[in-house]
Amino acid sequence: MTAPVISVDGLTIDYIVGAGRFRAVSDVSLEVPEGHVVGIVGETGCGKSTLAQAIPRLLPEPPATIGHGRILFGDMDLVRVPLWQMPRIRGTGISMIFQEPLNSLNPAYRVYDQVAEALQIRHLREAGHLTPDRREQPPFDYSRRPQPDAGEVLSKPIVPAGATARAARRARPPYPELREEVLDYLKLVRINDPETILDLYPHELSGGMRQRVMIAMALSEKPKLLIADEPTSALDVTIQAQVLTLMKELIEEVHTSILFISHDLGVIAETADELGVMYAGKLVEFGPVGDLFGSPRHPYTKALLRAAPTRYKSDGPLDSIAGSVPNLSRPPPGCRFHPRCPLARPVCKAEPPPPLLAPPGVAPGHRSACHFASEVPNLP
Amino acid sequence: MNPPGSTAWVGTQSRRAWQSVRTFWQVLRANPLTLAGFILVVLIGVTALLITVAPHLLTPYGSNSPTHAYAQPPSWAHPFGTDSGGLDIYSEVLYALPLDLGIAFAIAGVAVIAGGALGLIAGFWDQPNTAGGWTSVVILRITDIFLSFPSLILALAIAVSLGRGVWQLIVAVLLTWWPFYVRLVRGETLAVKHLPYVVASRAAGVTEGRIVLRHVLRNVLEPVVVYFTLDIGTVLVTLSTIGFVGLGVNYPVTPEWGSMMSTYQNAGLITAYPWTILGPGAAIFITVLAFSLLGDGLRDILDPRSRRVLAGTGAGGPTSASPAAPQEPSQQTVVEPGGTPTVVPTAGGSGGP
Amino acid sequence: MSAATPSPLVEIDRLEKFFPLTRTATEYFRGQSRRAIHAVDGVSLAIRPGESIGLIGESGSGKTTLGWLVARLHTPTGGSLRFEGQDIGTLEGAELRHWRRNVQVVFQDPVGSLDPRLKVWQIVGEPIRAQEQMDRQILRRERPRIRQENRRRAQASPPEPALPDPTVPHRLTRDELRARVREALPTVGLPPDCLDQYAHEFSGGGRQRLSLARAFSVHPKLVILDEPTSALDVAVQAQILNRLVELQRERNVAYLLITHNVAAVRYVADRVAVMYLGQIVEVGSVHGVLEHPVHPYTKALLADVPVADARRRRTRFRIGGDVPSLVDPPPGCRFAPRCPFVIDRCRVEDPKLREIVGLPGQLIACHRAEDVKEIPPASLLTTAGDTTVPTVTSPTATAA
Repeated sequence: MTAPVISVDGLTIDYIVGAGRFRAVSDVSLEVPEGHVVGIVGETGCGKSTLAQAIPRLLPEPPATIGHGRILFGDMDLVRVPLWQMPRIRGTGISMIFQEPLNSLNPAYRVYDQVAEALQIRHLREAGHLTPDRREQPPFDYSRRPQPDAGEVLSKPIVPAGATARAARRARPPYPELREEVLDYLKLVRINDPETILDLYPHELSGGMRQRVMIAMALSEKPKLLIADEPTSALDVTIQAQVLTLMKELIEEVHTSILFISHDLGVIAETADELGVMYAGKLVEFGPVGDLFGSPRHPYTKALLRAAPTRYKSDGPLDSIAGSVPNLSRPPPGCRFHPRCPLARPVCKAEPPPPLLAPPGVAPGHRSACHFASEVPNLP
Repeated sequence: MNPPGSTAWVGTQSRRAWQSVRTFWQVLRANPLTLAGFILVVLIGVTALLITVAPHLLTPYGSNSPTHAYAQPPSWAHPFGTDSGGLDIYSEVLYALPLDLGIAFAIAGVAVIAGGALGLIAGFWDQPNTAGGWTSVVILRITDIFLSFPSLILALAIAVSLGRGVWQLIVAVLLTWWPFYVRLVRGETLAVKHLPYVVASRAAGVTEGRIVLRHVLRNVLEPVVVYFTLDIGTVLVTLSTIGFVGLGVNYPVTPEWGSMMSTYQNAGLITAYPWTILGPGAAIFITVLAFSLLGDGLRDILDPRSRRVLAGTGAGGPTSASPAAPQEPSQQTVVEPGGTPTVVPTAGGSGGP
Repeated sequence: MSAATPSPLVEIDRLEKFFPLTRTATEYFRGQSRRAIHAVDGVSLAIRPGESIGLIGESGSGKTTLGWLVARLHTPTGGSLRFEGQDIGTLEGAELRHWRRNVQVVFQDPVGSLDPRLKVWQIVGEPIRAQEQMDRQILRRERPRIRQENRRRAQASPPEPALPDPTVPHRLTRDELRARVREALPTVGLPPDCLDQYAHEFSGGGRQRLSLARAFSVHPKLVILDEPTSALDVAVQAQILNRLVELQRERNVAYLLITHNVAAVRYVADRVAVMYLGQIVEVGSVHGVLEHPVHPYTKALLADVPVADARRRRTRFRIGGDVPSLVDPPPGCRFAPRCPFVIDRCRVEDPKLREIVGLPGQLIACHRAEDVKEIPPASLLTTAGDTTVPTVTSPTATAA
């Protein structure tokens, strides 16, 4: 069993605002195995976006503070790595795409410039690691990347300087080759005739195209882990379908693992191998997606699955979840879901729920944080 | 429900008033610089009032009345010293305060009202090929013409042609000041008028005029008020500059900081009596600083969103006012579908919704 | 279910809305334009009282523009738009504002559609106040005429019954308005004492309820809902949709639900219209269209909706390319460039909405409707890499 690409262990993230502090993410632990797609699903305010942005340390560190916990990438604990060293890890280590590509693409630069920039950074870094005689070696095989080694990654310069810089500049591909590579990556994201969009600005592209360009940029750095924060929520259904298909195929081709954040259960069902469900900052259930959908072991997961409207008016009212998401500065005592839970008993209010445990009768790797996980199948 | 006039109604009204005062005070307290600005502005206002109605409280000397202490450096009797004509500079500075403030407010005030109204019209009714559209074009082009002159030069030129005097000074600066507000208000109006809530009001059947006044104006007002407050300082500096070059008001007949500085900096006098410019200089500095500090914090006071956050009731976490947080938890009402709605008081319930 | 079909509330007949594009200088001064965005291009639809119609389509389909046209937030550039038999396309000014009480809109963006500076009672009370002001104006105008008429009637022999004397009610006081708002709030599931809160203090679902309360405060006959659920979580969506259906039953109000969320339409709507590039390509009962979609675009749309069921992991049918632009569309079927069943006729001749044998009440705008009728959406899905598309053999068709 290969080591997971990334392993989050007991992560806690607080926000300090004015006089108060509130806990956006509470003691979350999960892993992304190599070559897998792990989905995180939850409602607005559950902390999934915070978690996603915390992994590459993209959160603004005041007001956000990472309380305790570890984020293990290779043998590096990303929480301990000083912020100024994080650019070494971002890009080729961990890459991220966001929900609204119009915001994440620079509106002042053309498509070619943006993709080429990502490629050039990668070339610079690779070249910086090459001594002159190593340049003759065969290209790096990304399908068999080893785990990043803290000693190696953190000691290499972010952008090489001095003698290595000169070597890097000599190693930088000339313009025609760079352009070819840009076109290759655009074709990788299934843009037909990519020559036509090279000179366009982001606002001249459609939403689906923009998101594909974003994916191309993210993948051109050949990251070990791609974090996708609601990448298709802003897209139309047919375009969303295309982009999701694309992402699944790319996992095979580029051997990247994906951490996929979404509020849409259908999208997660189609894309993810494992799924984590978050509620009010806590991870309440985690497991293989088929098992989780088929036999959920947490009342919230079950309610969420039931709430997706799939019926006609004549079939009766929709099931929704009573109540609403709690205010995270004053979370309910004990289990955070207990005010809305049909299985709630006094112990749920008194004691915090157990950590993620495997309830009986489920597939391996399926864990749930509920005192009464075994009773969940009896719920309607 | 409390009928108007009943004691309970009075209680409700006064409670509401007290709550807004309290929120205002909490916001001020949260931002010490703004508090300092606010206190300073209040002090300045009180001083201006006192010097007009009861000058003897602040200074023993009348306006423009020479003492027999000629050209004395600062001392206990004369905090800013006296000038070569024997006038106590401290008193003159104080007597100039209401005039300077008045001029500055008059200029900025009329500029806001006139420029703002024009900007609102130009921004809101700008459909091409309509009467409103052509009006808007005309307004904007005239504004552009005025803006293309460097404002200070233009003001000086007008001041020269009009001669000295208070009204002449006001007119000169005002004519160069109003175009900025047209630009500002028009930009804000353009941004606001396409927002969904304006369209929603139109869909509800509200007349266009009422939409402008109720929705557009109120939402445009906030940056304008902030700009206005900061502008007081800028106008004061402009006044001083005009006075400094010898135009505008005629000192020592009418005390005014700028013309005071102009008189005192004359080559011979400044080397002989260097302390004389300290008085008016300090006055300008403090006044401009006070309004700038207040203006900076005014946005937070006016915006209902940041009001709650700063007053500490928003300790419940980032609301939509803070863009840093990727999520948006906010105060919640708990509603049971199909059942009776119950309200869960959340952080910042401030007495319950 | 109405026994005799009542006359339609809204009748749309070949409605058009073109937005002119940038013009040359001469065109600017003459007020013409060569090129235009054909946002809504020949749409015909009828909405009956108390019926809810779902309008689905993707961005660029013109569904939002159509909704705004029905609410008269746009002026139609062609075709006719009738409300209760009256042509409203040419209404203007005070007449238009007075008519607005019949049709209200709930907008898509729960954040932007509520004025951040106003309190709840001001936001929800605004339509009430606007309409009652107009009522008073009208009464004031009519009062002398009615009194004169009453005098005439009193002097006629035999004396005719008098018309009721119009007393212009006083202007709604602030407290009266607040009372009305307080009554309106529980109908959408909001607590009645949140009158003095600001919009930003509510969650997304709460804000959407505020928009609903505002729309329903004047008891309109038709409510246009523009993507009411797209900014909401699943659980809140369910609550809002339940509420919408209940309100419809209580008040017999008609809905025009504009969304790309097929599940919402399935639940709320009685009939469904599918739009593509400014035209309706299929319309019928919600059971009919969603269970037996005929038009290739409808099939693709339904096939592509992700389903929260991990047992049915599928790969997708990729309709080639992106949505083409709305500017000066070429003749022929708009979907032809992307349609897997396209034949030469499709590129030349505009298909018209028509019924086909076997599916009564469902209208489809496709030349090959009979051929493709039986192909289920699921069969349009392919496995990865397989780009072959099911062909339909028929004597008149050429393989796609």
